[in-house]
Amino acid sequence: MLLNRRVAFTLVMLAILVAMVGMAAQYPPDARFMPWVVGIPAIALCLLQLGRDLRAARHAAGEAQEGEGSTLRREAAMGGYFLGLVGGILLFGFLLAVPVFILVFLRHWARASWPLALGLVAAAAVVYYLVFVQGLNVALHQGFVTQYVLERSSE
Amino acid sequence: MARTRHVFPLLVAAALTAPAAAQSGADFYKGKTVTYIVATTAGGGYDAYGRLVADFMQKHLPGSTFVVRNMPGAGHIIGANAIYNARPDGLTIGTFNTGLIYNQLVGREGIKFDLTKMSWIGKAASDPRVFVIHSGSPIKSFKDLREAKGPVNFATSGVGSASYVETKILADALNLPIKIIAGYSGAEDMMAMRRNEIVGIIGSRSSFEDFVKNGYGRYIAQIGGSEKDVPQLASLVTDRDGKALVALIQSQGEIGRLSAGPPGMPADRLQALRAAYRKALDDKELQARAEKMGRPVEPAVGEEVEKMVREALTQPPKTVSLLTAALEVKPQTAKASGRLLEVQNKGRTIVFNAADGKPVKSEPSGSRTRITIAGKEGKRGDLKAGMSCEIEYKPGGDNEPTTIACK
Amino acid sequence: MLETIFGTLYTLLSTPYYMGLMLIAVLIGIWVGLTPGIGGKLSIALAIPFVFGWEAIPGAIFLLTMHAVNGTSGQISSIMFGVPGDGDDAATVLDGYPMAKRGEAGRALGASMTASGVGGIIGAIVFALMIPVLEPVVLAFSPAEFFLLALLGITFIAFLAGGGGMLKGIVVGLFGMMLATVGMDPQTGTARFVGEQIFLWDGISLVTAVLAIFAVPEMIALGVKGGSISAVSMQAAKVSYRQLLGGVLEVPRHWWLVIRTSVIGAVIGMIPGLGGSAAAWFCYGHAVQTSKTPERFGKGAVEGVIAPETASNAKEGGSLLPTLFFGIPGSSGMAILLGAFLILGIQPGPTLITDNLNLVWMLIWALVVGNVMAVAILLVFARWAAILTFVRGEFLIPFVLTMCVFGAFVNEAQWQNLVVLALLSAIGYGLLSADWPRAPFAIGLVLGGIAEESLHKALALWGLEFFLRPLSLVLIGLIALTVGWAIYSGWRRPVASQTA
Repeated sequence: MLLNRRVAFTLVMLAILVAMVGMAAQYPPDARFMPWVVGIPAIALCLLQLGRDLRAARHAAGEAQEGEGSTLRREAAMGGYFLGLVGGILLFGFLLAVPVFILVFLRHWARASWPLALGLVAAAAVVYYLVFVQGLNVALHQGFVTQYVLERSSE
Repeated sequence: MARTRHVFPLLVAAALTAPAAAQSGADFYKGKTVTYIVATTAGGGYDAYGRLVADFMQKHLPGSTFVVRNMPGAGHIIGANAIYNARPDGLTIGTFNTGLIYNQLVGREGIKFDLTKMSWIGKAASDPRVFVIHSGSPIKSFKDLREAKGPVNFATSGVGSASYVETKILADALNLPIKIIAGYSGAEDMMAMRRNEIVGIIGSRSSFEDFVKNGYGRYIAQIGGSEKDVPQLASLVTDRDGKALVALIQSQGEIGRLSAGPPGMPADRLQALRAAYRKALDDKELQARAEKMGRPVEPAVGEEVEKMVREALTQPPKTVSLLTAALEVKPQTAKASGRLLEVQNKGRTIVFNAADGKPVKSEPSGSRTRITIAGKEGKRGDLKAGMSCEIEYKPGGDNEPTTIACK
Repeated sequence: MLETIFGTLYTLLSTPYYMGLMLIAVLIGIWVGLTPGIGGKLSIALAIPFVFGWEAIPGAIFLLTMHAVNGTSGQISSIMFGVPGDGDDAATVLDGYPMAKRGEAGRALGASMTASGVGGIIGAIVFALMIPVLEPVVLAFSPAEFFLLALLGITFIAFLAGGGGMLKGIVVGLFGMMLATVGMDPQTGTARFVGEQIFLWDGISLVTAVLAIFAVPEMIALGVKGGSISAVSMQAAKVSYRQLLGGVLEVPRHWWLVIRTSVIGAVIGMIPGLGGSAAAWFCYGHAVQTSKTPERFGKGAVEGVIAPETASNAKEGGSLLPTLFFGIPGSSGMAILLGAFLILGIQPGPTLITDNLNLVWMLIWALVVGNVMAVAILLVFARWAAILTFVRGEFLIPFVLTMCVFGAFVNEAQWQNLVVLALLSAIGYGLLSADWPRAPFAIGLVLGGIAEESLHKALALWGLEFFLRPLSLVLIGLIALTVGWAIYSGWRRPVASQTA
């Protein structure tokens, strides 16, 4: 099928480049100079690449895409975990989201036993806390939901 | 040398009126942690002064712990926004570049603060501006600069920064044959001068002392400050607009390394902080450390600083128009007053009658438009049809209002 | 003169206080450097409150050692997990991580650490040698030369892509340069690609971009693939001190490359305005260009590990020069160090040579000794650390991913940065799985900003004539040569190797 992985990605790159070059059109001449000098050739080359990818896809169209399905599923799962981590941190803050993420990942993906998973999470939590909160004194993001809840409860 | 600036009368007045307030305020801080926000990354001038101030305020506010937090970004705007929008419980204060005054004067985007409303604690230094000229240049005095032929290259930081703004408005208002090369950050401008690319820089004197002492450059004019070895620009300028401009820059330079908190802080806590600040800056140990770092202190506290800020923010229209030209913001704003005819989409679009009676559809911005309702800060979502308001907006495009003041 | 040189060394080595401080600084530096994203700048920034009020010499030694060293330990996560510590380490990932995947983590680590140490020492030597000629050299480089140097670095993109991938490599490189324009343009005051997000005014942070494009995708790919990082089992790889030693010996074997990249790195460090990460990438590109078998790069060529490591450590020594003698930081890490020096009461300027030569040499020796200490400690540590590459990936992934997120956040304490991380990671994974090269992206991002700014300034200062400056002409010649060579060798490669 023509819309294989490579073609799809080249299309994505093309879309991004076109979008950025388009946005740059509203900027004053000096400001849009660089984005255009860089972006327009990039679009041209990307179109060339798209052509190549499409030709290759047509050649390979006959061959079965083995294992593509299961790879895709695993990719989606991994991606989901990562986005879940980021989203969890944004909503609930580092202190809550990180241990939960590690725990869930270890249990579900790595199929670790409860004692091992909990042990690792505890160790990691201690290390992270010591390094970041105490040592580096970084104000870790509290998470929107958590912040909201804390503020409501302290009123 | 540290020069106290007639703080004494104010000190007496404050001492007589606020001892009780300061005491209960000081009690509040026992066992509490104050976050001192520095709007730059660690290691620069603001950071150095900030840490010094925080250290000694902690010393003079018994029981308190001061923690410095760096919040760099967007030319101090991110830090200033954070300070302004923090909870006004007296536990968050901080420092940022006074140059943000220029940004506020023209209503630049991204600003979520109003410097007139902040709770002013004090300022730690004065930073007179100087005109520095390459020692190899034939320009030896301000008069020479005025009469120079052909564009004289001056280096500034990025467009929109305080250094750029000051250089541009001075060049425009005083008709100096200056060509601005923008984009020099940090001390790159001094390197450029030594490489002969740049002839002049307008910057703070403290940055250039060593440079001039080593013979690479010379001063031809100064704005503010008490040193007597360089002529004051104010004395070299005769027209009114020029003088107003110089006065603006001077006032800006005098409010150096400020400390402030969000608006609406409880009076007793603010008093306590101001008292601690005063003691901190009078502390001999702080002064010694500051000298050692090459960062002299020239403090002013509380109400005095507030007065200076207010003055700086009240500028004649000519100055404002020069500033907007310098920052290339669309200058004209139109005013309208009357009832809001329509409010759509939670305040994202409003309709009102312009001064000529014709209805205007306008799109207030969530971050750029300053909205007050019955004197209190509001959001566009609070606007309702039928409210009686004074609106200042930029005509054209989406007619974005700069301010909406409703009853 | 000789007295000062060796006298200070003697003082340094024989004063337990100094040695003790250095040891602590080395340990802290290593520890901090291990964590991706938490780079040198942050550690110095955080050390500043501690050294407030110290005497000048111990304070300076402490900070400088710490700074010099955390460049060295960042390689551990780069090589073992493909997670770069900061912009420079990304270059090490390109060949270091593939080596780990082949079970050669120990060898890679041995090589990279030794290279780092040697690079740092050579950098210090260059620093010492250049003191007399510093001024004319630094002053010879103006925006015109910066622009052309950046352009030269960018033409290396053509090399790194190589063969049929050249097209994709160039597109990715251009994309990197495009992303470099995001933010408030200092030339016009226009906020580009920013919308209403003022946190983007300062552009996309390099660390975040590097983590998103290199680290996160590798972890996701590891999760998808299953198994451990190393495709080879531990027994087969024979992880031992011998493997480590094998890596160490690679450095003397490539001694000419080491010297070249160290010197280039130091010189790049000396020139303020070119930026630190440029050194590692430049030298990586240089190694590719001068190798007789460039196709090995990107797949586990040990030179691809040695070159960037020597360069990035050497540049630290080099960047000390303008920092101390002009008060102009040679890199962003130096900027903070400079602030710290001021706080300690050290006044940078040409008077340092005449008045305080003692201090200068103490610092040089601190760099040398600190590097030696760091390498020694790390080599021991590395032999055991390498075992992690044989652990099942599933146990590593959650920790590495969380470190990436921490790293991205700590660098710019704005939550929006995490959104940027997520978005760029998606693109990064796309690049990885669609078989697009990623190295050019980093080069584009790093050099694009410098190129644009310098070009604008050069044009403002001299107009189009800036090409005619003598040094500029030399650089133009080099660029033409590089591009020509790239196209030539690209054409010569057999058509069969062109993957679509």
